[in-house]
Amino acid sequence: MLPLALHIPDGFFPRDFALGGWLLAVPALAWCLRHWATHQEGDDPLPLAGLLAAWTFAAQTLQFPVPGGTSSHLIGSALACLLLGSAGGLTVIASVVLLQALLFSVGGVLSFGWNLVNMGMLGGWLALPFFRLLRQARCSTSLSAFVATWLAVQCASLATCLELAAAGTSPLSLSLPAMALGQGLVGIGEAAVVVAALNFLARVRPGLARATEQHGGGPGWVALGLLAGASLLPPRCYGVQAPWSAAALLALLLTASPLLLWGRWRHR
Amino acid sequence: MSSGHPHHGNAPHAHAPALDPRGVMLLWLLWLLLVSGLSLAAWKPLLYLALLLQLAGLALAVDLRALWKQSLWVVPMSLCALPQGWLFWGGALARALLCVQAGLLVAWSLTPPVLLQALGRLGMPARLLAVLRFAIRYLELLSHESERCNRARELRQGAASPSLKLRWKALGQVVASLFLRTLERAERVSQAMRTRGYCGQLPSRSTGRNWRVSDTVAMLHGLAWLGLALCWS
Repeated sequence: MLPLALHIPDGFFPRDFALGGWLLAVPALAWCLRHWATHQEGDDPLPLAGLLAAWTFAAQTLQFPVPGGTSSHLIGSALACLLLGSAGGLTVIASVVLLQALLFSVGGVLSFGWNLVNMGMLGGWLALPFFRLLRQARCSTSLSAFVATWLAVQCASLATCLELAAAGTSPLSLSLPAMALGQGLVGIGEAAVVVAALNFLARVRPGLARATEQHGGGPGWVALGLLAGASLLPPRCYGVQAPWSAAALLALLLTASPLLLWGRWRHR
Repeated sequence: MSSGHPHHGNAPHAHAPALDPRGVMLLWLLWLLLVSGLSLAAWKPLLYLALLLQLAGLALAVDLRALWKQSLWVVPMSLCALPQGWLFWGGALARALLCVQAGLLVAWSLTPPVLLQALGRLGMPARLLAVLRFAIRYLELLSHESERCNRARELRQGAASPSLKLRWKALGQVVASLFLRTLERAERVSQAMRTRGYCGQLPSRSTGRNWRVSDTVAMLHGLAWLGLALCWS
C-alpha cells in the first residue's frame, strides 16, 4: 500500500504538466473573486472567509494514520463551499493552499494549480450539487451533507490519481486502490466533521447554517464534467493498457447516478 | 495544534536576504521552473543545484539539519514513483526535495507580512490577499486560544487519564467553544472595520522599498548561477 495525499509537491510533476493546472485554476479563481465581489449580500464575508481559511488550515494539520505507514488529513473544502458558496469556498481553499505553499513549503507554487483543482474545484465545488440534489430528494441536512462531502472527497482523490498517472509519475493501477482506501476512510471522517459543524452552527448561528440551502451548484457540475471528460480519455493518456480510467469513472457513476436519479424522482 | 506561522516560537528562521522580496519571489519561481524542467536522469545539474541550495542556506544562516528534517515529508509521497524504477524515483525525489527546500528557505527568510506585501506588489488580487491576511491573523488567534484551552483542560484533569470516549467528547467541546470564540472575534473585527470606514477593500498603506540597482545586480548574479545548471543539462 502506498502513502498518498492530496498535496502534490513542486518538482513532482514535469514543468509543463504542472503549469497546465494553472490553466484550469486561474480562470476559476478569477471568476470566484469577481463573482464573490459583485454578488455579495449583507455583511462582508471577508473576515468569515479568513476565519474559515484559518480553521481549514488547522484541520489540515490534523493527521490520520492510513495503511502504508503514513498519514492523511482532512480537506475542509466541502464545509467552506457549503457555508460560503462555490466562489467564496474556492477563494478560501486557494488561500489555504497558498499559505501552506508560501509559509511551510507544503504543496507547492507550480503545483498550486492542480492542488486547487483537486481540493477546491472537486473536493469543494462538487459537494454543492450533490447536497442540493439530496436536499431536493427531502433527505435531512445531515445525511445530504455527509453523502455530498464523501463523494466530493472521492472525486478529488480520483482526480489526483489521474493526474499522477497522466504526468507519468505513478501508475493508476497502484495509486487508485491506495488512494481509494486512504481517502475513502478519511472522507468518512471529513463528512462526519462537516455534519457536526453544520449541526453546531444551526444551533449557535442559524443564519450561517441556513445559507447552505441557498448556494447554487453550477460550478460543481462544470467540475464534474471536467472530471468525467478526463476519465474518458484513452487509457494510453494515463500510461495504462487496462482501462483503469474507465473503471474509475464507472465506479464514480455507479455511486453518483442512483443518487442523482433518486433526487430527480423525489423532486417530482 | 501545529498551526501558526513559522516565524513564531521555536520555528527555524534565516537572515533576511539583502535582495528586494519581489526579487526573492521571482528567483524562487525561476528556480522552481528550472528544477521542474530538468530531466529525472540529469544528475549533474541536480547535484549542482543541491550544492547551490545548501550554500544559500549557509549564507542565510539556516540550520541545514532543520531544513532537511522539514523537507522529508515528500519522501513517503515520492514512493508512488518507485514502480517506475530506482533511478526514476531518485530523480523525482531529488527534484521534489530541491523545490521544497528552496520554498523553506524563502519562508524562513521572509516574514509573512513582507511576503504578502511582495505578492501584492507583484499583482496578486487584493481580495485574495485580504483573505490571506485575515487567515494569518486568525491562525495566531486560534493557536493562542487552543493553547489556553489545553492548559485549562490539563489543570482540570490533573494526573487522571480519561477514557477515549471522554477524551473525544472533551475535544469536541473544546473545538466547538474555540470555533464560537474565534467566530465572535471575527464578527467583532468585521464590525470594527466597518466602523472605521471599510468598504470592501483593505487599504495598502505601506508600499515597501523601491527597487534598487543593487537588486538588479543581485538578480543577475542569481540568474547566472541558475544559468550554469541549464548549461550542464
